[in-house]
Amino acid sequence: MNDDLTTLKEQFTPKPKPFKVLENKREFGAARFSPCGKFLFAAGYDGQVHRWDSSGDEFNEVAPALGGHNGWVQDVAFDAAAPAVYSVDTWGRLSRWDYAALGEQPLPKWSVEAAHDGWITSVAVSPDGQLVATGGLDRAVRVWSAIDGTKRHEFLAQPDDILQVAFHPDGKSLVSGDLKGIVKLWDLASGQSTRQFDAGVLYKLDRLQDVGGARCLTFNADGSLLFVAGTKPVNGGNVQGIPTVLAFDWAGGTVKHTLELGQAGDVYVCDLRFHTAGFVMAAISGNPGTGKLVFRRLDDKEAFFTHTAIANCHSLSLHPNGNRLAVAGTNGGSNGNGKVLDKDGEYKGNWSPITILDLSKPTSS
Amino acid sequence: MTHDSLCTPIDHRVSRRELLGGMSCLAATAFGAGALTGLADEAPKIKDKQVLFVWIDGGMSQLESWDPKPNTPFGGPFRPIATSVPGVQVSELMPHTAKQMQHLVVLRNMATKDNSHSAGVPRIQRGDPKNRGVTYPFFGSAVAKLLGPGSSKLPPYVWIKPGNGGFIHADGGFLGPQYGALAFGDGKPPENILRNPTVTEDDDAIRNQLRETANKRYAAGRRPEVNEANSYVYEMARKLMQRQDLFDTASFDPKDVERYGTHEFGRHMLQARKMLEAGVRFVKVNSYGWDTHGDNFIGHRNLMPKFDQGFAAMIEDLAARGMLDNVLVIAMSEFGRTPRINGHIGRDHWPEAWSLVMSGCGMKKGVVVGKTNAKGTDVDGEGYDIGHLFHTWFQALGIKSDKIEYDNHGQPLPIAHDEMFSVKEALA
Repeated sequence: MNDDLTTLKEQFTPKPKPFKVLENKREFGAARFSPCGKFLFAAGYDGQVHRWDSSGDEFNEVAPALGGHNGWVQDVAFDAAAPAVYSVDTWGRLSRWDYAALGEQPLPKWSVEAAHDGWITSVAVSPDGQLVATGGLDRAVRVWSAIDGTKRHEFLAQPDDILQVAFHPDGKSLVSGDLKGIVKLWDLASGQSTRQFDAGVLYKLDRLQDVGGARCLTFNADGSLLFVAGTKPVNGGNVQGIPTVLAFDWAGGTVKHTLELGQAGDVYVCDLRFHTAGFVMAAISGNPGTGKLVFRRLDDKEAFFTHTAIANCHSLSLHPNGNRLAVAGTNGGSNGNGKVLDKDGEYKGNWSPITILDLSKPTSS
Repeated sequence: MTHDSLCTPIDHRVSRRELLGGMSCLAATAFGAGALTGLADEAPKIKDKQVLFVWIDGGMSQLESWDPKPNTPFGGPFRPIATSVPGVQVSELMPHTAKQMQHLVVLRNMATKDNSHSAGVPRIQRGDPKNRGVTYPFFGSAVAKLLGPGSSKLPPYVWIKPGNGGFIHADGGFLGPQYGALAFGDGKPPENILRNPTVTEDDDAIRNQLRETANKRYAAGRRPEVNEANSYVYEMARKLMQRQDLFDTASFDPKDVERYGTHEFGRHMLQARKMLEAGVRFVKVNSYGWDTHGDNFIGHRNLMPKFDQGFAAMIEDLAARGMLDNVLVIAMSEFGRTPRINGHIGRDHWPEAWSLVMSGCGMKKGVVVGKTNAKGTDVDGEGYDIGHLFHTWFQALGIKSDKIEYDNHGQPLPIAHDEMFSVKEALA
């Protein structure tokens, strides 16, 4: 272990503790803190974006929800500097919301009704806040002006469903990951794909079904590492696989680290972030009830933190002050064959409790 | 002693002599005197009926296929799309099938009992009759028994499936092993089916005489069903020797291969069309891997277009050839999938309110039968069980399911659930 890593470990090795659970009656694909830290936004399967006030410890929900979407709101992404959040849905809509002044009848600043033909799987904002990238199951990657939603680029060279997009921290390029685990690098100046990263181990054809893919894309702070995560699939149908993170050397394109973070029933790394203190934070969801949150350093053989009390972790978001982590999961007992009724005799749906974890305050260096 | 398993009509059992010598009179063999009460006029039509049974093993989601519920709590992420029938929508995952809706009957109010595969698969395919202490035949075996192989003399019940093939005698139930399914693993013919070129025809004939002698000795003292099944399978294999074209996928039109899809399901559906064109009475095609307890939506996004491609191409081709007049097409699973979405972003087993689709022989065209409630959590009104569907399918094939009975060694048994009835809204 080098001195830098030793220092980082000494500086910050958190053991998060549960702080609060935001109970609700909806299912969410993701819950994310705004860069200002004042709000927590959640992308709902009810076609709405929900908000909580996260400026204090109360986490009161802010009404009304942001509407206008169809199907599911798949994800939200933020401008790092301005109070703008972008939401995408499974029917192809992209909307920008200026969340500092939404009022009682919130309207988007702009929307692109058919940004994609169907399911937009991912949205990302460039570091300078000027561009918004989207990827979808129409196999297209598109880049939009953050100012007015006009289309700036369209990349159609990937033959498979696009599952993730992410901007490189230098803002000059964009990566898109697909169902086969292929990650393409798009140069924004030339509009060309200049390289690709092969994460094909995260894919398997099982009978008729293409299983797995690049479910997460993220970078470390200086952009020297590209993380691609998902599962090493065992089978389709009731998908089983080993939750896996690949860390690519950005310059060389080779895999520097492979982290297997569970057993076959744990299945997907659904969300991933690289903490500035030198470890990955992975939200993992597999068989109902088996999710976990894992923190692991790249050179270590084991995770230094594994939290299994949250069932089916689908997303994670670190508060900008570093003290809070929001994890969207699923209620316990979410599965079962046949008709399950609640105490009132109504058909019982599931929901996504959002667990707020308290991290030890990082030591400033 | 005979073991005639039908009260009426008479046995359709195919003997070796009939196969090798050629049937001089199909009607006399298949619809013998004294066994046609109430059916004589229908016999010529019945012999031409065929069935394509598409089995989606594991459970296709009705919400991601035939019964979309957009923008409802359990509706999922996909959009509905219009079809060729005004007012009827299906999931966006079936754009090709949507264009063939004018040929289809979509039944949206299936309400069955079993929510496990192990019970559901056989009970659905056996029609879930009342328990009378016997194992009922699968639908394919029932049709093989009731209608026989037809003029093609080809095996009456073939199954094109992924994985291994073989003779699946268990499908025959109490009808006996000879009514089982001849399964072609990955559509390939049985191994060693062709006469080795080093064996001359004369030598082959001598060899067959020797085999027949050995068979007779083997049969002595054994239950006749055992020998009949052995002989039946052998003879069916010999018939197949003459139809190698059915397995020569290299000879298939490349345009068809592209239209049906180069994936497993597409290949098998195209081969099924060849089987139907050759006159096989009952062709089952099945696809595995639909038990999407996890990652249901990306899974269906991936699976459905392959089903859509092969199924739509089949319907289009059968319609274009005029074959839908005689071929009954059924596509279904053992159940649907739960409206609620579990933590693995999957849907579980759901027999309560699901859908299947039918087309062709005896069926209406461009019709939706039944409905579910707004959230898709229950049938709106009365639902239909599989027993109703067996009656419907038999009726569509010209078989009076309320009058004909099996004769299981003297025990009369209804061919479909005797307290159920056909779905009249689906029948032409």
